[in-house]
Amino acid sequence: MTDLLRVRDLTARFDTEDGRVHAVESVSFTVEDGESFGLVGESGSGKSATALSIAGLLPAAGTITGGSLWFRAPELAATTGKHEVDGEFVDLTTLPASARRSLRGTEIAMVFQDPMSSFDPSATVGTQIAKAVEVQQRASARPRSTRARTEGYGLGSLLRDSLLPTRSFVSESSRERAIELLERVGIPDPAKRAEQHPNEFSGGMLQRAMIAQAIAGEPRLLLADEPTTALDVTIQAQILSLLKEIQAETALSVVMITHDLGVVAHHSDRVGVMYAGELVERAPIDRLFDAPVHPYTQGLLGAVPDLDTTVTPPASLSGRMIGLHADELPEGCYFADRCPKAMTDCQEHPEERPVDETERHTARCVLTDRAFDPDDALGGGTAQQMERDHQ
Amino acid sequence: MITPRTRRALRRTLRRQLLPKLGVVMFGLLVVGALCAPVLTPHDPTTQQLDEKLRPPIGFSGQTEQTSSQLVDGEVKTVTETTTVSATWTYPLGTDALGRDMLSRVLYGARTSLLVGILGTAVAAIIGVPTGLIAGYYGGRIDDALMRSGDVMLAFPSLVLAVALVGLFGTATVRIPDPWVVLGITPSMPSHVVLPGTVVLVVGLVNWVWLARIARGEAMGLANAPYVLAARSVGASDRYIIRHHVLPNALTPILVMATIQVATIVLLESALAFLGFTGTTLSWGFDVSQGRDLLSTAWWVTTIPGFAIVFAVFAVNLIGDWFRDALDPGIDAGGGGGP
Amino acid sequence: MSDHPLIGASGLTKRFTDGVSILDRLRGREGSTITAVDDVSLSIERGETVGLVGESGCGKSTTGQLLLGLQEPSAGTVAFDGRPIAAQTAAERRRFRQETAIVFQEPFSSLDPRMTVEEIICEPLVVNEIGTERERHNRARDLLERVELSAVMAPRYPHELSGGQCQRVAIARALALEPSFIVLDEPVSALDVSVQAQILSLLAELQDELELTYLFITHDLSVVSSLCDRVAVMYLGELVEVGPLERVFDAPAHPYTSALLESVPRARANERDRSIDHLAGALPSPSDPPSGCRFHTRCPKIIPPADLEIDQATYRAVFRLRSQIERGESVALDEFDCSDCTATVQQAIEEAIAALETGDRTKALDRLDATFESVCETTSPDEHTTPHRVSCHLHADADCRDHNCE
Repeated sequence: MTDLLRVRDLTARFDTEDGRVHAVESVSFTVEDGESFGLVGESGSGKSATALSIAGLLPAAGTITGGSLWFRAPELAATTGKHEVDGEFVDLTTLPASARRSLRGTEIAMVFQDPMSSFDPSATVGTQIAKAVEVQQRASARPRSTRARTEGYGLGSLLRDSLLPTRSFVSESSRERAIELLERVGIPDPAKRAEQHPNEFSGGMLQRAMIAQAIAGEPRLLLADEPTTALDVTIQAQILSLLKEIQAETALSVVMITHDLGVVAHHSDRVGVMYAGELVERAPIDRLFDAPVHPYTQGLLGAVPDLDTTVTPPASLSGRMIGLHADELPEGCYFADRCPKAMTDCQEHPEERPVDETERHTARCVLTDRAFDPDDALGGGTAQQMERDHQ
Repeated sequence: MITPRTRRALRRTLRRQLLPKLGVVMFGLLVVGALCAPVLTPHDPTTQQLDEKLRPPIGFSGQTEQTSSQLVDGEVKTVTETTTVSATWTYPLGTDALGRDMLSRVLYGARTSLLVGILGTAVAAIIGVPTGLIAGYYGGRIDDALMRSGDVMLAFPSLVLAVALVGLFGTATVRIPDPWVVLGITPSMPSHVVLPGTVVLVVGLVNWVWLARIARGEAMGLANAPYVLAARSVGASDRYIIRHHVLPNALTPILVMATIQVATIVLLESALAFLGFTGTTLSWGFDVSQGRDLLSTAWWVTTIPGFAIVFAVFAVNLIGDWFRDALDPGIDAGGGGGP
Repeated sequence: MSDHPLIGASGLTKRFTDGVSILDRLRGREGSTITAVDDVSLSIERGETVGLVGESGCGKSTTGQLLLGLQEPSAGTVAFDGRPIAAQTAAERRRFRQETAIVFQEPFSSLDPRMTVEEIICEPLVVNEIGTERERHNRARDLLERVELSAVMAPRYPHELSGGQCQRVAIARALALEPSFIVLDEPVSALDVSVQAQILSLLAELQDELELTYLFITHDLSVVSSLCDRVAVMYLGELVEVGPLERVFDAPAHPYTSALLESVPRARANERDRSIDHLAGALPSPSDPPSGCRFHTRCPKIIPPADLEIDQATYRAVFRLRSQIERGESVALDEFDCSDCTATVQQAIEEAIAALETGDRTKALDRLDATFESVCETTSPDEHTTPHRVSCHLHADADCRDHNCE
């Protein structure tokens, strides 16, 4: 398999009222063509910030401060410019904003958690998808012009389109394509549905429409940020199988960002587990569930209630995640204060190391090199954790 | 009522932005001017000095035209004599047609405007906030009845209402003794601050609906907040819930609205004073009306109180904006856009 | 005293009429009525935990609030300790309020942002005028300890706490009056898994220590399994299945329950290979619920007429065709392959297609209805008691076998 995206030591910071937040800390992973990579973690672990960094959609307060995002784009790599090139790969972080924007939709697309707020309530769903199609089509007609891609969202064209009644930004063929796309994502009676507004759609239908919009430009990488979290289980199952279907057809690579280990287990080929902005463990799906190395992964797996047994899941992780402000971060391992297997070595910050020879399973933990030694233990993470909770 | 977080947000916005600072300074000047008017003013604002009339403000010169009929060569002729009046530091902002010091009148006028602005808003809040909270909290018919009566109130022209009420009660002025004079610090100044009672009532009656609408909107959202349900589930009465949960949480937007109302009311007071409803002559609106015949010759008689009105409204609006920016969480919560 | 269940609801119904203003009423316009809860009967014994599960909008939260008297039912009764709550005297009402409590889903919005933790926890005591200020203060410390929070939290505001801590405070508030019955309305749904596990085990501990009775409302079946003794499954305002946890989970009697259970992705290595036979379509609008069995529009086990020989896949396809014709949607006729079908089926479909080609939708529909109409569409299923309470036509026969009906 060929790599599509190589994330290397990605680091992102957020500047907030209360100081600098270390949202993403030296994260590395690779996404191959047609595969599904799961990024799991609890809220605030940095998984969404990672996705937004890749998409180039970080909010104004956030910046990528280090690392690189190598994306396979041979055409772009052949052109000269300020961007860094490595063979067929281009470093997205070095691309100018306009080139970055031109990749969005055509190469990299994103699906968000809340479909209701991701659609404009005042326009029909069909028009909104047709607009996405139109922008892509204009862009491929004039590949060098990045303006063409944003045209239609600017003030000038808004005035022109609304003042001249005969003018329409969206061509007839784009509308037809939008209906095709709606049909593709399993929306019944797509021609009628295209004329409806988002409030006439159910949550599941709207999520399908958002997927239709995302695949309008036939992207190679889809970043799905908690795409099923707001949906009921029966609808979640529908959406997951739709994504699988589309992937099978188009060799689309998906980065599935979720807090739900079940969703990852169901959908992904490989998984990265995030904690406190870091990727603490990365493994093929069966390795992660059968032989997790990092105590956080183990705790997380232990905490998931199992539907098929009626045993109360042990509260295997006590306490909560450390704060990510610059002054709150400890010198050592970020998980040490909650870790049941913390040892003296953990006072030093661990590197990401391979667990086995294949290097497909890595963990950021001393346990990759040595076994847990109770005599060397730091006296149970829980004690420190309780202390912080009670402050 | 005001949490530390709210206070922090207010301070932060004040520190970061220029306009709130400007508003605070302007409003501060206004308040100091109004409170300390007797010591700050060089003259009694009501004393007439006919030989000093229509002096222009510093930096300008004015001309007084005097028209008289004279018998010249057996014929009656109209003679216009133009005398140039120069500005003097004794009257830095000039004098009006009766020779009263404009600076003193502006400072004393601030007292009336602020009193009416603040008390009028208080009256509006006393009527509007409970009405709105009850309408929003209970909803249904109670809501319909209360808010429709508010709509009727809005549809009724405020000036007509003022005419009617002044006709009924008179101007109902309340004379408050001025502490500076009572304490003997400035014995020669006017001994009372005149509060136009009917005007306060009118502006309150006209403006409560706006506060009621805001309060209603907030109360509607809060009536089903989980913590309200939780309080109800342990047996809390509606009264308790409105008092302890709904009001405190609705207070921020009400406060923002009330600040903006102060500005509206200052303007309305000026309009009513212009028409002569206030029962006091120490009012910006009254001065504007006094000067309207002199616009071509002595512009400052209308313009200076006019500027004062603009100054006050601007100051209050800046403070209202500051509250809104600092307290409205909706403004800085920007969401991510679609692809 | 103990011959009554702690809470017993029978025939509980709640209708909402939306958005009719005076103007609308003058114009004689009626608002659309939504039956959020329809004829729900459920009793909860002392010390047990009943899980109430269903998808969003199925009426489970409304049911919880009806049981606590926080909303007035449109029909039906709730009895607490054998006494209908509608007939309570003021003193009984007061006691009922103290005996019951509720915990909500959203950890932040269920706490008043302008109150400190201590004020929040003490509120039930203040409202009921219990204890002096000093006693309340001490009680707040005890309660904080009970939910494993430290006393230093007392003067803090909710926004200074994490989601899990907020939920602990909400639980402490619910415990303040020493209730016997607590409605837990999605108490862990907004929390991260590790925190979820902490709160679930706290709830289990508290139940043991304080002999509490819970109604555990959730859409997440996986959290039900660890805490509940019995499960009630709700669909579009109706209870479709009620039974002991193990029985419902291991051998679900209602097709909806099986579909729900199957839809939950399992956190296991071999999950990727499990193909979920997922439910088609979305939840129908509660303002216009389907006729007969409300689940029939999505049901994978819809019952064909007794005299018709047809396999489920074809029957489902015919069914989809009928609803498409009914809704006036475009119909894909060429998708139809019934070469394996019996002559009756083929004839009916051919005649219907012929009618459609002439543009006569009503005739086509009538023809199909005559042959294919299912008992699930026409008759609302009765509640059967075998193997446990379940409302589905599939169990009519089993019930009859046991009770020798007809």
